[in-house]
Amino acid sequence: MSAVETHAGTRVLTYAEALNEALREEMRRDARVFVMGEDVAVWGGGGVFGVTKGLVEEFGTERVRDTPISEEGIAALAVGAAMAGARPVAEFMYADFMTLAMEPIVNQAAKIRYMFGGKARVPVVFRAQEGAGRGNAAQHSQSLEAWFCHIPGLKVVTPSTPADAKGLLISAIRDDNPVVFLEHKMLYNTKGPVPAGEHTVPLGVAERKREGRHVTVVGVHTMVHKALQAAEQLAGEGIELEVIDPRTLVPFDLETIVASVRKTGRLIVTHEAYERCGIGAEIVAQVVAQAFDALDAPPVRLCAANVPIPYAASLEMAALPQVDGLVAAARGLMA
Amino acid sequence: MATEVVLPKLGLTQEEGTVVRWIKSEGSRVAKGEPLFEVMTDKATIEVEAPASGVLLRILVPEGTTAPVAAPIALIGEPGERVAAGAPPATAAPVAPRAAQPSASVFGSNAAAGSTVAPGDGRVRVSPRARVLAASHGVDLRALRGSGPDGRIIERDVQRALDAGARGTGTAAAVPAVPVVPAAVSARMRAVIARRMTESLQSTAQLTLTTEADMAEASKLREEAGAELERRGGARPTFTDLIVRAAAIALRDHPRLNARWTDGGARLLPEIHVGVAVAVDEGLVVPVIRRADRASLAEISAALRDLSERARTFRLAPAEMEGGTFTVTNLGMYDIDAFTPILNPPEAAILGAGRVHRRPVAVGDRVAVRPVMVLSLTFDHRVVDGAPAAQFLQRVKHVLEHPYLLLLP
Amino acid sequence: MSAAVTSPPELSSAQLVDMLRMMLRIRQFEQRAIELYRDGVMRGTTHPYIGMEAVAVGACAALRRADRITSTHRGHGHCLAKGGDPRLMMAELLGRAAGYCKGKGGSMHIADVEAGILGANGIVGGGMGLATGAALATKVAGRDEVAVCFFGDGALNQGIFHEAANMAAIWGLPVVYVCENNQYAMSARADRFTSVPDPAVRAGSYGFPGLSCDGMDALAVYKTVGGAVARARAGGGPSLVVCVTYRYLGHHVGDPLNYRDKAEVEAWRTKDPIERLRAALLERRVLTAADADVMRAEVEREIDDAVAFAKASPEPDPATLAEDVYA
Repeated sequence: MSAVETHAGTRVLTYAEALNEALREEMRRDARVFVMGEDVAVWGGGGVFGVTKGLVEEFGTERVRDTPISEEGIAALAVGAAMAGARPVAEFMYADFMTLAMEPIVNQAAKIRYMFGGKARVPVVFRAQEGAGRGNAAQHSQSLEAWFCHIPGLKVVTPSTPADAKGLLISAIRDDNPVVFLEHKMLYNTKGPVPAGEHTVPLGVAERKREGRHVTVVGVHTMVHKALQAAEQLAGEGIELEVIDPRTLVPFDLETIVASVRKTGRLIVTHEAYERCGIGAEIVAQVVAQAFDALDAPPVRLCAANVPIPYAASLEMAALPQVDGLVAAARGLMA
Repeated sequence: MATEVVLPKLGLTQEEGTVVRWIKSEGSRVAKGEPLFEVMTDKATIEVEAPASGVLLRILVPEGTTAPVAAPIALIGEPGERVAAGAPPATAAPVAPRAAQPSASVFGSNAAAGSTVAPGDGRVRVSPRARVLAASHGVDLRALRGSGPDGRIIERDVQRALDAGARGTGTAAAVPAVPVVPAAVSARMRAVIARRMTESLQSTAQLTLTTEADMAEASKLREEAGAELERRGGARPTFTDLIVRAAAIALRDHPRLNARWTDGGARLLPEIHVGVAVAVDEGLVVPVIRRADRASLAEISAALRDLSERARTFRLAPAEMEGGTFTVTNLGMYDIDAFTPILNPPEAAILGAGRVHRRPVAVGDRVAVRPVMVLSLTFDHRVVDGAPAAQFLQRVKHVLEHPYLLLLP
Repeated sequence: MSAAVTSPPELSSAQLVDMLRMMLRIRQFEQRAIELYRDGVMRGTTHPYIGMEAVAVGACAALRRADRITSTHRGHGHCLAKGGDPRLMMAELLGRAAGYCKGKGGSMHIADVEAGILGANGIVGGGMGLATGAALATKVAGRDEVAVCFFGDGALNQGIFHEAANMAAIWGLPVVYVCENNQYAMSARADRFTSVPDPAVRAGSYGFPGLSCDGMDALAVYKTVGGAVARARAGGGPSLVVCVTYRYLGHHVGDPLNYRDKAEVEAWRTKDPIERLRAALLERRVLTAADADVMRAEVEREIDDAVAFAKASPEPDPATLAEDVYA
C-alpha cells in the first residue's frame, strides 16, 4: 500500500485503496459480508481497478467469489443471498453493464421489503464504476445514477474522495437496504486523506467541500473536483463558489443545499450524466420548490451533452462538462 | 530530428510510472527494439525497448524519477541534432485539443438567462430574491432599473436602492452587513443627511401639529417600572422608550400614519417599525425597532439602549437602520420645548418630543405645577390629512397620560 | 457433484394425511379466491393453481421449515404448502392491512420469509436468481438449508435460468429447480416454444441431473423432488425436476382460453391429483372414506374462516403509504 503517514490519525490513500480498506474491514468485522463479481479474485491486482486487491488471499474464494459474465445472475443471486441472511457486495465492472441486471435490482431488490409488508430485508450493495474521460466510448462511459435514483426502495451513493469512498462504503454495507454504490473510473487513482481507525460517513449527508458567498455549485463525482478548480480560478476575480458534494443521492440532503442557496441566491448543478432527466433536473426542481424566494437567477445545469459519449478526445471533451464551462456559467450568473 | 522516447502506458488505469533503470547511457548507440530502460508501474517492473535507432542523445528523466504517461523521457537521434535543453516532462493529460463546438440541440436546458418574456412588453421582471427583499423593506420595484439579464431586477438592484436610502453607511453597493467605521463616515454622512433633508422638504407636503401631554403619571410609571427592571438587572426606561411604545400603540389604531407615498397613492405598511433618531459624532443615525407594537416596554427599552450604544460607536449593521415606517426624535435632553421635525423619507410621519418641564398649567379652574411635554408631529399631507393626523397625536397623548396602556400587549 | 440422486425418507401415515389435507386446502383456497374475484371483492387479478396441487405439496413435503422456496405469479399453492397461513393470505388477496404484506403486495407478492417463503413473484423467472442466491448464502455460511425454485415451462426460456443454473452448477449450490410444466405459458404451448421436446434435458447443458416426473401424482413428485433435495443437502449440488402437470383453468381469471380445447382439459381432469392421492390413501388404509369427507368439511370451514377473517379486516390506512420502503 502506498499509504503515507501525514500526521497521527490520517493517511493519504487512493480512492481504490480506501474502498479496499472498507471492504477488508467490514469482511473482518462481519462474516456475513462477501464479495462477488467478475474478475474480483484472480485478476492480478485485485479487480480491474484494484479495489479487491488482497482480499481473496485473506478471505478465500468462498467470500471473494469470481463469477461468470452473468450480470443479471450476479444481481439476482446477491438479492437471494441477502434474503437468506448474507450481506453480499456485488460488483459490476462498469455501470453500463448494470443494464443487464435491471430486473433483479429494480423489480426485486428495491421492492421486496415494501411488497412483503416490511417483513423482509435485502441488505445488498451493488457496486459499479461510472464515468468518462478515458476514451472508453459510449458503452463504457456512462453515468446512470438517475435511473437508480428514480426507483423507490434503492439508496444511491456517489463518493468523490477517498475518505468519502471508504466511509460511505462501510455505511452502505452496514445498511439493511439495497444500496447502489457508484464509483468513478477517473477517481480510482486520486489521492486524499483518510482517517485511520474506524471511519464511517453516514448516508444522506452532504458535505460542503468549499465555502463561498456567491454561487452554490452542487457536483457529482469528478464534477466536485472540477468545481473546486473553477472555484480556485474564480477566487482571483472575486467570485466565490460554494461547492457542495451531496455524496448520497438517495436519500438526498436537500437542506444543506437549500441553506446554501438561501445564502448565495444562485445555483449550478453539474454532473457527468447526460443532461436530460439527469439527477440535476431533480435537484433543481426540489431547490426551486423549497427556496424559490431565495433565487436571484434561474438555476443552471452543466452536464454531459445528450449524445452517446464519443471516442475521440476532442469530441469526448466537448461532450462532457468542463472547468471552463463552470467558470463561464458562474461568471454569467454574477454578471 | 530527434525521436522522443515517452513513458509508455502499460495498463488500463496507469497514469504514471517510475523510471527504475536506464539500460543504455547517454551518448551510447541504441538499436530499435533493443531494451532501453525499465519502468515500474503500481503492478510490475517492465523493460521497454527503444522505439528508434540512433544515439541516446539525452536522458530527460533520470533513474528513480516518476513521470506521467506519455511524458518524454529521453531523446534518440544522431549526434549534433538539435535538442531542447533540459526539456522538462510534459503534463500527464492526454493532448488537450480544442473542444469541438457541440451543436446546441444536444444541450437542452439553460438557454443562459434566456427569458421567455419578450423585452419591452412592459412587465417588470424581478428575481424572487429581489422581490422578497423589496417587499420586506417597502421598496417600490417600479422605481428600479434592473441590472440582471434582460433587465431583470435582481437582489443587488434592490440592495443599492436600500443603501442609497440608508443613513450612516459608507459603501452603497456593499451587500454583506459590515459594521460602519467612524473614520470614513462623517463627510459622507453629512452629504447624505444634506441630500435627504432637502429632498424631504422639497418632495413632500409636510406640516407639524403640536400638543402637550401631562407626564406626571408617565414619570411615576417610569420610576416604579424602572425600579423593578433594575431589580431584575435591567435599567430604567427612558422617556424616549415610553414615547416609542406609545407611538407604536397609536399607530396600530391609526394605520394611516404608518404609510408612505407611492406613484399609486398612499400605501399602508403591514408592519410597524419605529426608528429612533440618535445623535452621533458629527451626525445622526436612526436605528429601527422592528415590530415595535408587538414588543413590550421592557423589550423596547433594552433594544433601544443597545442600538443607541452601538450607533454611537458605529457598530450598527445596515439592516438595523433600514425598514423603518415611523420615526421618533427626542430633543428634550437639550431643553427644547417644541420643534418641527423633518420627515424621514419615505415615511409619512415623524414624532418629535421636547423636554419634560414643570410649568404652571390649568387643572380645572386652578393653577397647578405639572410636568408637561410638547409632542410635535410632522406628517405628509399627501398621505394623510390633518384630522386623522391630529387624532393620532391625540391618541399618543392619551396613552402617555394613561401610561398603564403602555404595559398592555 | 457426482452423488447420484438419492431417495427421500419414507412418508409416514400422518404425513400422507397432511399431504391430502394440504391439497384440499389449496384447491378450496383457489376456488374461493376465484369467487371473491368474480364478486368484485378482490382487485387486480389472480392465477389459479387448480389441478397442479400435487407439485407444490409433493415438493414441500420434502422440505424443512428452514429450507426456502421461491414461487411464481401462480403462487398460492406453494405458499400454502410451505406453511403459509390461509387467513393472512386471504387478507392479502383482499388488500387488507392484516394481510401478509399489509395490503401492499397482493396475490403475486405473498411472502413469509420466516417460514422460508421468499415470495411469490410477478416477474416470470424472477425467483430463479433469488433461490440460487439463497443457496449461495447457505453454502458460504456452511449451513445445510436447501432452496427450491418453482417456475413454469415458460420461465425455462428466460435468460436468467441459464445464468442461475450455470452458477449453481459451477459452485455446486444446494438448489433444486422444480419446473411445473403445465404445457402452457399463457397461450404459448410448451411443445412449440421450447427448443427441446423434453425440457429436462436442458440440465445436461449445466452438467447436473435433469429428471421428469408425473406432476399429477403427489407421491411421485415427493420421491423425485425429495431425492433431489436430499442430494443437494448432502452436497451433491443442483438438479432440475420437471413435473408434468396441467392447470384446469386459464392463465388468470378472465382468460378466454381459446388456445386450448375442452377435450384436452377433460382428459387431464381424469388424472386429478387430489382424487389420486385420496384413492392411494384409502387403498393403503391410511384413511377411510368417512375420514376423507370429514377432512374435506374441516378444510372448507378453515377456508370459510380465512375468508371471513379477510373480509372483516380493515383496509390499510393511506397514512401507511410511505412505510417500509426502507428498513
